[in-house]
Amino acid sequence: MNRDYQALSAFLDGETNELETRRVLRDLDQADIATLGRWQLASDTLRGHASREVPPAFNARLSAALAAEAKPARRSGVMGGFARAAVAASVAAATVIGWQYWSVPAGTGATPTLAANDGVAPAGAVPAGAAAIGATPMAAEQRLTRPFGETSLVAQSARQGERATGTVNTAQPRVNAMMLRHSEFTARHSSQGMMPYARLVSMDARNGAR
Amino acid sequence: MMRILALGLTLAAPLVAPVANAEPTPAQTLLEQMTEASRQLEYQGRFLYQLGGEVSTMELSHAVIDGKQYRRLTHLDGRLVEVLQLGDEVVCLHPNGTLTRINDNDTGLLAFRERLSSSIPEQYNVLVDGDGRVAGRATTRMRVAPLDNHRYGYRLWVDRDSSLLLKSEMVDASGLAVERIEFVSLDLEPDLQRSDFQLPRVIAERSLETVPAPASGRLRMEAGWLPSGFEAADRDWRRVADMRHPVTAQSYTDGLATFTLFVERVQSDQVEEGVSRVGPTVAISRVQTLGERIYLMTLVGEIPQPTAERIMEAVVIRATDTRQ
Repeated sequence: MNRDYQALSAFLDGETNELETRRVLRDLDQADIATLGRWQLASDTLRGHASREVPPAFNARLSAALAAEAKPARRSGVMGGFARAAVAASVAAATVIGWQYWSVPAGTGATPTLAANDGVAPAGAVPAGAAAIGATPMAAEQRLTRPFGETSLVAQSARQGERATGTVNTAQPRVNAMMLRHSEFTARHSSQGMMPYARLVSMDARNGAR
Repeated sequence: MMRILALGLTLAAPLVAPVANAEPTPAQTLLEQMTEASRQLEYQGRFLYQLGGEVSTMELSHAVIDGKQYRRLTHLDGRLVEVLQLGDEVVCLHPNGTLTRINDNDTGLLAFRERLSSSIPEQYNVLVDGDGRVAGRATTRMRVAPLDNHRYGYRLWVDRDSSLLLKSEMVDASGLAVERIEFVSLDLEPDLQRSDFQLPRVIAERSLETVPAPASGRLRMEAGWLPSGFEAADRDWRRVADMRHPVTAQSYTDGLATFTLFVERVQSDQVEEGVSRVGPTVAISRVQTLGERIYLMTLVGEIPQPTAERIMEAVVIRATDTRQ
């Protein structure tokens, strides 16, 4: 039972900080989800956004994700809590506001602003002859790019929704290894010295405490 | 026009001295002194590390022994987590008592650093910004401001006496700090010995082992779009021994900001896909299919999220050996 409508409202508006977001996600129940859905629907209507109903399996997936969040991880990893919170937040956020973006037809000009000040570097030409794919399925207008405080946000594609997304697998060792490798690289190449390791230590410690 | 940038942004920065092709500004001179101090001085201190809404306390020890740098970074509250740099080796002790070793034997590293130090594009403005006081010591305050919104900026507080960096903030486009390090105590004569950098007792040990990629290059990824100034750096195949299939990684940096792209083949589409963020670190995972194969692409980096998403949208995976 959440019933902290002020916190829910702030959560919906993306105005909660990391701790508040976690608290809201932790305490979120079906009634809160319904409340958030109604608020979002009202907001969409006021703003003239097209909407459609939440995919029915989303609430179940949200519950499953939140239940998984509450369980201790197999291994306390670098980004374990990070990833778990992200998964829960992803499903929650998609449940709450994801569908409005899914319902935006392609080509409506609803593309979110990605970057105003570019400075684009020319990318290397892709040689012909090799089997190649571009990262095209996630059209910008189909994506949800709304931040929730500092904790997480969601990118759910229409393609993903069609194939029943909630199938998340928090393979922690994979994320841990990636964070470690990235930190190592950053420490060696970025002129940031030990800051990447401080970052890694902090994440590792907070995940270990969960 | 390219210019020099040597930002020893924290505690112990590893950059080589920049190539002087112009009269250095006071800010550049200060940065060079800071870089040199962090590498050459022996020091020990405790600092606060703030990420998002959480604060950790850590201790850093640094010494040069037999010409090699030794560092120990210890998490002081909650679970014990440590990172040790012992010359070319980096060791990470996790809170569950396991340990991961990383051997830094990249022969191309030096050349890459030299290239960076002499040819970083003009993506940042560096300037001296006044005075300050950190850990009871007088400091000079500096700002490193990005010239576009594809990277974060920094605020630095450099010790006037030792030139060590005592406080650093990574700030977003609105000026809010997304990450902060601030010393609360500093000892410049700690008399550290080799024994101060001994490995702790662990219950299990593993390493990130390099997997040699075949000459044909089974899997390649290319960034279709990069913010200006970012260059590809490390690329390798590695895996945690006995755990998973190799994951190929490609890192990019502009000399200050970094991100790493990972691609791995997965057996089904039952994988996580989405975006998450803690402080300045963003992680994006996306599934891509190539024929009948399914790949999971993940970007991890300290860059603004819209930039990370845009990069991910343009990533191209190419497989030259379809038997994989």
